[in-house]
Amino acid sequence: MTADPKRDEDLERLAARIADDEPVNWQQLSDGGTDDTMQGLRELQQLVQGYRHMQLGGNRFTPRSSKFRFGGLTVIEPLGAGSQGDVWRAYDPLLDLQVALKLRKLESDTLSHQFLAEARRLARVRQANIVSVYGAAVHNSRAGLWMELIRGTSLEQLLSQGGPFAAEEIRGIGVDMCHALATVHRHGLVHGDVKAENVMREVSGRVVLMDFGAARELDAPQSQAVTGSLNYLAPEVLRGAPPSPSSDVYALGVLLFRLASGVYPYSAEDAAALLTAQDRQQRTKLSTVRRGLPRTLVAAIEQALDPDPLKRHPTALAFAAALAVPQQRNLGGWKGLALAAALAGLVAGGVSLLSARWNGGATWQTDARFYRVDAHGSNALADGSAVALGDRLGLEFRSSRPAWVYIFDDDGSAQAAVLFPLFGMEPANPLAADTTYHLPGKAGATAMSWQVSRGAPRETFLVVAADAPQPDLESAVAAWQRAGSPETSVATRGVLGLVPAPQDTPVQNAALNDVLARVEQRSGAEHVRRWRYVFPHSGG
Amino acid sequence: MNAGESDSGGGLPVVEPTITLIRKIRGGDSHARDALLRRFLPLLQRWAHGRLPRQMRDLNETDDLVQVTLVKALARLDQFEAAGPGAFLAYLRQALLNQVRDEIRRHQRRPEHGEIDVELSDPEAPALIEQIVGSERVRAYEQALAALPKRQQGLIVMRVEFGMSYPEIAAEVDSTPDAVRVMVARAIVLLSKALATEAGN
Repeated sequence: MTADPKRDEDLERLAARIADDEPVNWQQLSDGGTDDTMQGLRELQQLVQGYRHMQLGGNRFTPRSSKFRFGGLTVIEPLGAGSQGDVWRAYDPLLDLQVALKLRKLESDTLSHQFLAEARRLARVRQANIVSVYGAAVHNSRAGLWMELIRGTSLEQLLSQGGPFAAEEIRGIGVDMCHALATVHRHGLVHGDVKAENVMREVSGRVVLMDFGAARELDAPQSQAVTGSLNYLAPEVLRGAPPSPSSDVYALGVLLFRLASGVYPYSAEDAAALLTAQDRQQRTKLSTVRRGLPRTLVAAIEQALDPDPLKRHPTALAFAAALAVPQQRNLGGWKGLALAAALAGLVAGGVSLLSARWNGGATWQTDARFYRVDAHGSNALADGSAVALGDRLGLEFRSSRPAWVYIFDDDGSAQAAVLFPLFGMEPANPLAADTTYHLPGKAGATAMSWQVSRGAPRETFLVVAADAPQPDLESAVAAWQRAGSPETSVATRGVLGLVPAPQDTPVQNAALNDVLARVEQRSGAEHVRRWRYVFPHSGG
Repeated sequence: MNAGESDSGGGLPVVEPTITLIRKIRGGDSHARDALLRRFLPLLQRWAHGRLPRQMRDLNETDDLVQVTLVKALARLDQFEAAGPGAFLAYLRQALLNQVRDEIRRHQRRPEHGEIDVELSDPEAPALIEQIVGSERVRAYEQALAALPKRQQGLIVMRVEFGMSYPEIAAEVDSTPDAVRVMVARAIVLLSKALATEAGN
């Protein structure tokens, strides 16, 4: 063992996980698991997994009948046919697994390398709700890829067998598919053919996104032909725009609409009719074809179906957050801001300072300024700036000392909504000194922002920064609802004016007020900074 | 150690520590001999399917080979010097690996039907575990394992290669499952360091 007991403890903990064949997150290790012993552990992990595989089922299955062989696979029986390829049940003796083998049709006009591109794309994404690819090869001039064999039923089949789905099922499937799509998008891909036929539900309840045949790179040339299924095509794609994460969000909206109602949002026979219907906004409203669904669920699905991509949920994760809002959350408490993905290009130079408290003579310097993100970039917000529909806000923060930052929506309700720090997002407290942060931060690789979302007399931000950990605030934050968790994010509407409030304006939320008073008393006012902004709604 | 069924579902019934059975076998107890065979035969056969070259597996001789090895080992119990509780399985494993090498050599010398399948007779045909994780990795592991004290070897073989549960291992080494879990983790850390040393050489 080493002379470092903590290190030994870490190593033993890792080793125990490896011995139990449990997942190990190497990235979480302080050194990323790069030293020699860690490398040894990584090697052992491979071995343990190999042995565990053999122990679980090695050599047990030997197919008694086979149609033919494809490379090392024994092909057992046909499962179905797609546009590009036929799907077979096959047995992989090396993995000792039954797999789904997709073979390119001989008469297919898709070239082998294009067909295999699906395997390469799929191999990049690993997520519980996405089918796993195991391999790809060309044998006897025929391209094939084999993947996880999903034992289940497509959502389309379930719909035709059992009729529309229950609200909670729709919500669950929607959230799972959002997470699957978020993974796809994070890898620079667009699925391009999200539909009820391409989502399977296993007996266990797991839903799996299948068929990446239409998937493409986000930066693929725009000249590629329109792919996907007509009823699921977003208006902009129908008009020739390349598929995008937003069109995947739209398609998922169609899918959920269909699960809820059994029909499509537009009833059109062909592309021309669909275009016309979309132009005239002749869309069936979900609430008219399916009554009794939670209002938040309906709103989330309707927003995904907005013909304007900018008004849809900005990301699949934001869609997931909107889907997961429980009904009662919309009735009280925090409801003014939604977490949204920031558009490209954060903070284009500080045009005007909304609120910067630069403590000139003191040793601790802090700077906090709001900015607005829109399709064209981002701008620092001047005092009194109007905020347009769908705008997203962020806070630029910088401190000369490590800082613990807390941002609240102080709307006077019983619980102050925590806008920062947000669970599962980066950065987290403390924020490093002399570093410019854009809050609320990132979910994975996606930069997020807050979205103003309701009609109310006003919205109020409270930003608190401290130069030391604040246990009182930490426990308060843990107790209050968090804006970034899927269950609290809500939809966006409203045009607001943005005006900073005087520093002496009392905090409305009593609990927050109490906590801040304790914090300031204990730490001394010079160690705690506070900014407060009131956003009166226009006309309010 | 407590008696009762193992928690691994289909693993070893944890009834009597192996070392006790061995003592009884030495005393001429045929029931103990049968009990030991029942205990280890399925485990070793399952293990051997993954560790033997495809040649052996496809010749369907694995089970016979395991039986022969186990019976031979029982016949030589007097020679078996317990390097500590739990070492018997590691000993059997090594005996099997030696037996396999002998068998491969025998097959190479005497093709039975005049012609031999080129693929099946390939002495380099990898074992299943080598196919899954790579021959180099298995070789490095073997060397690093051999460098460990016998007790740690036994723990790793039981947990990693035989997939025994902690209660089962605890019964073998006369300890508690919690203590075994810690011991196995420490043995794995030792092994990873030995692997790193092997890689550096």
